[in-house]
Amino acid sequence: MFKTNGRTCAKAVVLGTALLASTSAFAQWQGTWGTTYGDVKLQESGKYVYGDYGNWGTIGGLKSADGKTMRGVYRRNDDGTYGYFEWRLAGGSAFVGRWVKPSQTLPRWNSGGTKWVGNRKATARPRLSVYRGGGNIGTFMGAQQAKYQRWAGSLYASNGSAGGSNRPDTASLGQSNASSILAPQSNPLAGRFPKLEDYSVGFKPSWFEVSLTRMGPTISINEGTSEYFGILGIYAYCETASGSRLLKSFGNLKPRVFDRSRRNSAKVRRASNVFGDGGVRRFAMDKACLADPQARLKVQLQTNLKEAEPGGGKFDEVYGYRSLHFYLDDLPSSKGSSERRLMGGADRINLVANDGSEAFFSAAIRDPEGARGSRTGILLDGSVRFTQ
Amino acid sequence: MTALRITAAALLALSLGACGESEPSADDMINDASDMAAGIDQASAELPEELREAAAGTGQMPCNLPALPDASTAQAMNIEGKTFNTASEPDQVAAFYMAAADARGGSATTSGPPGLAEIILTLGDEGTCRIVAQGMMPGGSNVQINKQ
Repeated sequence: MFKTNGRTCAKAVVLGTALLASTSAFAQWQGTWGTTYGDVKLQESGKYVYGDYGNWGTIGGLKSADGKTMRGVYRRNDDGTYGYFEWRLAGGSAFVGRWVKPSQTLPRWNSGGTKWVGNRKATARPRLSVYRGGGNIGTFMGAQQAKYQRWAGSLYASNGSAGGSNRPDTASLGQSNASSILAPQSNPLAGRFPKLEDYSVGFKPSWFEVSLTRMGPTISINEGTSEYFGILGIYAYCETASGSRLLKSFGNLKPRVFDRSRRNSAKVRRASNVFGDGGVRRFAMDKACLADPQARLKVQLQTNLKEAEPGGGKFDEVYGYRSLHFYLDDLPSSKGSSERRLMGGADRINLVANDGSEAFFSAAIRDPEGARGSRTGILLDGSVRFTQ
Repeated sequence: MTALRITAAALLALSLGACGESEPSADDMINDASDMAAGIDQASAELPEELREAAAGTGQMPCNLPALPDASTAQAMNIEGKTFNTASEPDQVAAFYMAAADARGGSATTSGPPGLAEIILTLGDEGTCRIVAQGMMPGGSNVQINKQ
């Protein structure tokens, strides 16, 4: 009745998966589950699954492309303790899984950690009572450790079955539409770099490009011209548990994109492009760095700027050496949170999503003494985009 | 649509089974936590004397039962009973309230799957109380006490 050669199996799996997917707009995880650790109430929003963990905590996680596997975080509201789990649906009315503490090796649904199983009690969208979270994937992912972000992201790139992907080999299918059936629903690296959700399916970034576009006073008022001089550089690093490694920019260009003396200061009335075409540095998506699941790609702005006293005075405002940074995995996607603010002492850097290929950043370097009153610092605007 | 889903699921299940893919089985649904009854017996035997004394005292829980000494507040599951969290595991909670029943000349019955202990205390004039200790991650229990 059923031939078990690889090709036939593969076709059947694909057909079954496709049929099931086409009819699976319903939320597989939504509902109330009686579990080893009390009732769990889940809602779904896209690939984000979230809800109540018993009466004492919060559940959040991502489900796999086929929806059958979920990797999540539980967090107790009373003491903040948390951990990670992987669940896999067993039919539509039960799941099997395992959980670990944060310090432990991440589990699979059938190995590692401690067993956590559940049976569905109801499919209706439950009313949540103790869930603490924004209800959107951006807020959730932004609050998690990089360890979890990568783990959950890698699940979304696969189907999450034990022992790797359970997708059949595309080459064995011999079907013209096989690629569309098997294509991931998101960029494989999107779990690690949320901004890639705004790129087309199959986009494989080879580079990331950091552009500085504007410099000016943080508060723009009609108070005459601001004159800036000093130096400003764009650096990129691969940051690992053992340290940071400086990445060379494309063309081995020097990091400095702004280097002016007082005599040649940049004069602006408001935030303006003082960099011309030179405010761009491109860096490789370093393969060695990406191979390390714990490593992060960091963009750093190093500045040593001064602002000439208005009216030709001799008392320059010396901002001194400043360093602001963000990680590529900090860049928000338009499908998640729209803005992320990173603080670094008195300075700050905001990351803003848009639905295009670029993510924008806006850095503010605070006036060291606030002596200028209305002019509280220097604004640096820029953008980051991935390229192939 | 339902028929199509069933057909699709059946086809997928059949194909995955035939192809030897790893999927959850009935065996996976069996919890590997220790047997609750055995755990309660052991916890009762090992219940520290200070906890045994605490169990004998009166408290603010239904049936004038005490909470475990390390109890921390938790959101009540319902308005009728009282709820608290403790670092003790469900079988230890059960042992504590069995000791409470002993001290009051009452009786206790326990049941529940691994990780979840249900204790019914019959305490004479104090009435009957149902205690549910649900194991929590990464440890401890959420305890609910309701007067029946």
